[in-house]
Amino acid sequence: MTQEKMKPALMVKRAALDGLRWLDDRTGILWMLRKSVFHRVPRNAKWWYVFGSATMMFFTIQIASGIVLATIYAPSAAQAYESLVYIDEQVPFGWMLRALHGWSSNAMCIMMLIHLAQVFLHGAYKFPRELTWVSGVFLCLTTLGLAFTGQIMRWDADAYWGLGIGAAIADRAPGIGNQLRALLLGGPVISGATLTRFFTLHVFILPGAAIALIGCHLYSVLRNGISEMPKAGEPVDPATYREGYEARVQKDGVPFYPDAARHDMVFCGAMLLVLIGVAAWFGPFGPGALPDPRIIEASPRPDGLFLWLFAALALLPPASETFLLLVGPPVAIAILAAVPFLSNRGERAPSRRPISVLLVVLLTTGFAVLTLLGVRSPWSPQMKAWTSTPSDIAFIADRTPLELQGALEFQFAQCRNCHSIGDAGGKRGPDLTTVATRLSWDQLVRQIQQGGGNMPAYGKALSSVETQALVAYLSTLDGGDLRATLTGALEAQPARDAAPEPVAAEHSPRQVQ
Amino acid sequence: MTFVFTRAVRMHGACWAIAMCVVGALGCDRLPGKPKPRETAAALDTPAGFAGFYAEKCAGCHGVDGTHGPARPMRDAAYLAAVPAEAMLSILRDGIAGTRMPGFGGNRVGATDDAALAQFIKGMNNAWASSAHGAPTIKWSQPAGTGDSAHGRQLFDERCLGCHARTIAAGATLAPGSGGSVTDVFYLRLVSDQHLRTSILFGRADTGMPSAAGPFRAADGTVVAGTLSETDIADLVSYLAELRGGKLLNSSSTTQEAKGGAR
Amino acid sequence: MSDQGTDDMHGQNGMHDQHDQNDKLDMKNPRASSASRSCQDCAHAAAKESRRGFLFAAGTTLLTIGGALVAVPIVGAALAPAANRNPSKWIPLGKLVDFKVGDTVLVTFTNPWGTPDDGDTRENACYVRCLEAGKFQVFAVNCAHLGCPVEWFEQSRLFMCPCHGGVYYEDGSRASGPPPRGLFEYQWRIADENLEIFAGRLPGLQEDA
Repeated sequence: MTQEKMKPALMVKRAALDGLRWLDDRTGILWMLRKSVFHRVPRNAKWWYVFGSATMMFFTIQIASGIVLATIYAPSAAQAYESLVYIDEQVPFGWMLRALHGWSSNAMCIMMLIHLAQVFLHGAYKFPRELTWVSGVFLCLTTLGLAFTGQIMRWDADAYWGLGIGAAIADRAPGIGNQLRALLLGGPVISGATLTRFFTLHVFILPGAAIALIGCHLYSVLRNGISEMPKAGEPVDPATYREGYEARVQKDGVPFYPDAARHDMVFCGAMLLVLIGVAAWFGPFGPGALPDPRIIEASPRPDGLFLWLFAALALLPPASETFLLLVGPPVAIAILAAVPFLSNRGERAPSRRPISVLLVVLLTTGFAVLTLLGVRSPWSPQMKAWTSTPSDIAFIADRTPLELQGALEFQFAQCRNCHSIGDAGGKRGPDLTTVATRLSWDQLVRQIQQGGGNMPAYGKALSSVETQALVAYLSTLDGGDLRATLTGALEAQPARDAAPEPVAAEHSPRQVQ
Repeated sequence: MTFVFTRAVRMHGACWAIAMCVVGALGCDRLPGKPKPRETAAALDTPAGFAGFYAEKCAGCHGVDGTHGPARPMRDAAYLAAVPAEAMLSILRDGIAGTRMPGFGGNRVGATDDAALAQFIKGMNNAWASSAHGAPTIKWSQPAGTGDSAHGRQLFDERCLGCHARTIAAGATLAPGSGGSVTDVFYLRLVSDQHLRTSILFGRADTGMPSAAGPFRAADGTVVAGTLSETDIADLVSYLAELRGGKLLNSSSTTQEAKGGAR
Repeated sequence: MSDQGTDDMHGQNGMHDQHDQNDKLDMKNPRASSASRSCQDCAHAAAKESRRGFLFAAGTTLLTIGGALVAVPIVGAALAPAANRNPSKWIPLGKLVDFKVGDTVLVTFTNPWGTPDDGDTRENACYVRCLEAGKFQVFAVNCAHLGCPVEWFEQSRLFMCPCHGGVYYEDGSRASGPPPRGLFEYQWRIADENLEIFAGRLPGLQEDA
């Protein structure tokens, strides 16, 4: 066939082929592709193997959306908040960009954690994939670091006080607490230097580390191959594993692309659509209240991913809190990274590794429960409940004037910030809907005046008349069951003039205006 | 059945993708996730601004919609019309000393400034005060200690005793039709003379307490018609105020008669 | 492109790799390659070797010194915040007469060494409690547990923390909840009929403000 007779399409094809050959000669790209994209993987690597790819896809979205965000965002404590509002309201697609970045961050973390659990359950970390696991553990830490620093980028009240919590934890390190905290904040207070510091972490250091670690992770995946689906009765033996694996993959394997990649493509595509849907429906995260330390009525909460930590900080026993905060994370990370060295061989099938399965179930349940508790945070007083949370009418109807004054006192002395009546109010203290069935008049008086059981003593804050009114009201909270037969309240009430106080003292220090 | 990724299928897919992108790009600003423009909070004299502030700062004591709470219900057109704006502002800003009304202005944490409080008062009057109540016939407030307590006691026996027995209803619940003791020294020590005057003058719709216009109920249950005059009110307040200063009731003899049994 | 084609490419690259590796080996171990030469050039070789050795030593030394010098500003600036000098200064909070005896009020002040770039975070707040004329307690707003902002309630005379429920009495002592101690206090003094506090850093468990 002569050149003149060649069809244009064929000419284009040949030119392209020539170009490719030239490119490959200079770069070796085809060899790399053959080793990576077309490498042979076990035939049964199907739906269980899609989570790593999904994590990677979300990371790619983070990089792309993050770069564009970085071109618009102002990493200055004075302007960051305004620039976020500007992105949300003025920049075309700006809010969608922020929504994608925020939700993709969550999706990436979730996919990563599922991937981690799957690899652990399948024992895929065993010989010869120890370093794949270790690089994965560090990737996990980097990703969580990105999530935390990303929350700081929002530079709202949650970010400001979240930094305060981080600083307070660092400050607990014995001996070097102050230095550690100063390094974290870039100075002795949270300031502009703190934001630029976390910005550097968020856009340079951590993404750089993540890219490098992904390189290591993928390289070791390519070098040691994707693990096969675990089968009970086929333990890993380091002496023979490699040859067996190679032989099986050569004999029975399929090229990653397109055979195995189909599943990843379908899953990632579906996840992409879900991401877009969620971002479009729920929009971007924050920014919340202004990061102004003069605004005291802040109720800082971390993002969902860190709510379990928030819960743990409330529930840890105070005596061992510092120790657990400082020693717990490094030990946990060390154990996690050491997993493949602790169990390097043997069975991989979950059915033969009940302890591993139990561990995953326990940890997942633990984190889920802590997160749920973090959402409800029953240990937090409801700071505005005393003025904003009214009683159901059932709890104020048919009360004497004195009892109504007691009901007022219940609001006025901020009792409701911690206590509920009829499910309305704080959850920190016991629900008082039926308190009269549990405590007698005298017990109520003592509890209010002396506190105890994690309740402050109100002895100095309330006059005895106020206390008596409050107790008179609380004594009516009998759930409607005990009625007048309630012994404690009725018998004790006549004694309430035991501590008369002169009228002059009625104007206690509080009332000096 | 085998799936073939034909040219037609590819073209179809591409068309859909492009269509979705166009729709997405054009409709981006109409998606539910788009953040609402940051607007400054509604002024407190607008219905929304008033309702929001009331719900946050007042509802706890004065009731969800201002009708039933442990404190005086604020949805009381006559009361709102009677209290001058300056007095209301002072109450909201500084609270009422010696009572359970806290202040919300001044240099407190999260304080509201005077201008905003004034707006709130306007908002409250717009929402709940009625133009039907013109200038009140009886002044809202009066200097203390101007009444005749002996006459006050007599009035109390005639018009209040039907609901407010002198004995203390202890413990759980009031009998139907009873208002509970207002001569209880503990109660009296927790409230101001102005509170007593306001309660008598305007009554409380939520607890069934009549205003000064009556009708009242005597101790024997008979209905007593007639309006309390300005002096009558001052006398009643002065009687109750005198009780407050007195020795605390030795209530070891508390009877259950005022309770009148179960709920 | 056929698999054969890629294999060819790979073959070529492979050869290049091999060659490169030999070069590297040579460079890494100059003695081994020179030792294999005939003794005819011994003197010449020795001179060459000593020059190579000198160059290697000189290069290592220069790089080390240069690297260390470059590292000084990089590491120095990175670690500078940890130098832990206390930048606090005496800051006036207000006239003595403005503090009423028995009251606890929130007072704001500006970080003495902040810059406009700090935006809102340049501002700070503290609670001033006036016990009697000329006698004060000045509390940091940060909870001693994990630094969240505590809120003062004048009715119950308590400070409450919205995060994990730490509660303090009006004198700053711990009332309940997880805090390991009472509220942090600032040093205060009276100068020119003004209340001044010594502030400029976040208070913490290691040192009071």
